[in-house]
Amino acid sequence: MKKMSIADYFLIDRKIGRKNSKIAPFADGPGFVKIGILGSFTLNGIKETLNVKCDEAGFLLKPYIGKYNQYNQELLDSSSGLYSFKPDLTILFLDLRDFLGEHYHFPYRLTAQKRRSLVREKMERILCLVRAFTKYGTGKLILKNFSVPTHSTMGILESKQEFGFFEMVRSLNRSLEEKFRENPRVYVFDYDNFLNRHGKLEASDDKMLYLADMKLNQNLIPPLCDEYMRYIKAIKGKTRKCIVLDLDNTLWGGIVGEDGFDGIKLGPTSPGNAFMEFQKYLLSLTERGIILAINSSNNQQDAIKVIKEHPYMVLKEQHFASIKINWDNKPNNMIEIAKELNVGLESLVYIDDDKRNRQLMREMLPRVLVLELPEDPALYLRALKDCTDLDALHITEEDRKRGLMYVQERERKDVRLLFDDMAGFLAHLEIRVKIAKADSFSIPRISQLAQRTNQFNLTTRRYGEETIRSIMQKDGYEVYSISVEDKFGDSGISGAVIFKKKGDSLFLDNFLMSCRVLGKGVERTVIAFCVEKARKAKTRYLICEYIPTEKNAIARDFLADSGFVFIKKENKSEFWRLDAKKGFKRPPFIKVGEK
Amino acid sequence: MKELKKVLSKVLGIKSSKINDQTSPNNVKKWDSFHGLLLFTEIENNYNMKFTMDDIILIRNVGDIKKTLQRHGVRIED
Repeated sequence: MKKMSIADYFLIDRKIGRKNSKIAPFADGPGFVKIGILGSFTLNGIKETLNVKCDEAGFLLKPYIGKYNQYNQELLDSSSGLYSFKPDLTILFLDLRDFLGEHYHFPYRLTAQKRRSLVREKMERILCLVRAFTKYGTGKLILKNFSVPTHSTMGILESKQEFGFFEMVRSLNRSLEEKFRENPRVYVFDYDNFLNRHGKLEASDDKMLYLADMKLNQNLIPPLCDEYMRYIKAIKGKTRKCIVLDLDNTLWGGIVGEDGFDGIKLGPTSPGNAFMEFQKYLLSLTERGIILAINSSNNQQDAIKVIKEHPYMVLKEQHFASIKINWDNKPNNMIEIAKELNVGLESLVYIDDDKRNRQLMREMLPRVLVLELPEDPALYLRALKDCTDLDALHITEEDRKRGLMYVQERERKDVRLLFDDMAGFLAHLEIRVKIAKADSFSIPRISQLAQRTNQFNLTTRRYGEETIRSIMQKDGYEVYSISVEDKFGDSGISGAVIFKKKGDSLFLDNFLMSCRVLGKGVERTVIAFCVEKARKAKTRYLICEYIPTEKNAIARDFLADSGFVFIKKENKSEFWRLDAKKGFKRPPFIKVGEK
Repeated sequence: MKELKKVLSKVLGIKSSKINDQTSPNNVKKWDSFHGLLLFTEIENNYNMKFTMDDIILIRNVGDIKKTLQRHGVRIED
């Protein structure tokens, strides 16, 4: 596939404009993303390119472009255009030349000490802007770091200078990372690294710089937008969490059915080392929460033998959450994998060396992302590293353990077969539930669950982290995380419940549980906990709000089965009531801890 | 010229058949300073050459673009 140039993006942007011209300009909702773009210079082309890329990702871009070099006013003035636009994400793009002014050209007119204080002063400026943003603004702010210059008048002596020109910029970049590491609303895009990857000498088209103040070569606008799309997709929850792999000529060289166990290419010398490195990178991805699965046309026995016994196989059986090795067609296998892992097809990335398989998958299952793999296995790893769909806004402890949890689920299913009755099976699991007040550690995970959980989610209110903090502090809601563990492993925080005392009732604003832990009595345990809370608060009733969606009928069934009585309907909300006086029996086989 | 017309048509949103040597910012609505720069970058990518700053300042119309490309050693057939 030929890379699209910026002119191509402009062309498609015009077509999308015509297509979308019928949509009301003030329409709002999950199909939209609102992005504020502020810069210290003209950022022509970013809006158009992002528009095309958002359209490809399945949502409509609503941009707000700050006036030329007015980022200070936009950020510092609480009634600015940016703030009334209420963006989901704001991009702040400051160029080093603009930011340092004449010091960019004459850094050595200053003493080392003055250079240090200049960096501190400049950093304070950025901090000031960010403070205003966190106070007045909505959503996330994406800052960028600065490009470390390629040349110095000091030449070979540059590194001999105390706090020299290059070091000034590096130090500025370091403080940016440090200052905002803990801030959940601010991300620092590593622009310097981006330019290094593409080559700094090509990054500026100097005649365009002088003719039109274009700080970045137009050819780098599309890849730059790819980088910003990573944040946008993560915010919109459009990232992918599972990589499905072919085996022959993908995880190892050659075809095991023909070349045999000893004939495949996999090991520390070439060409097997390319496949080993590829596997190592995949393994490393699993350690930050990406799940792996296999979808291969092969003799099950041949392939499994390699996975279990080959001395240089980096990925073992326990690293795959689902394994489909058979002669069934691959799109079918893909659907089975999605079902087994309980994820949508839009969560999957498919890697296969065979062009026809890739083509078939794209045609049959367009929601699956099919990675375009180069012919040369030496380039596989680079293609995978360039994939911009595997990001997350934060990585929780649960993400890191996710792969392991799926493997444990496979084992649980095996044990399940040994028991005739459900009660015996559940008792055998030795389930332990911990219910704890939400804190800075658990809030990111609770928010993540609120975004992702569709089935057992009573009101599907998609609270973000900031909202959770705010309803706890301002509105007096109590928020609890629910952790689940059994003899096969720890599922970590798998649910949350949010409630508040209202009159003679304890009112549940939301109750949600990951489908992975459903049907084991944990839901009832949580309701028993709430009943206990209701009694302690001297309230008579427990009231659950339920807002039906296409997917959450399971939650209503649970309420009906647990003795809740439907009392009324207001707009879309149903209200269900339980008499706390009557008590509530919790499953005897579950151990409960509370913090 | 066919290749060059394709680029011009893509960037400026006009039909290839309407492009001639006199086509210029004066008679193409979309050809503003920004689209002009976009056009130069696209031509550079297409012909694997680089305009100089003076080239860009001096070019007034499509005829000038052709002459400049020829000076840079690009063969343009009619």
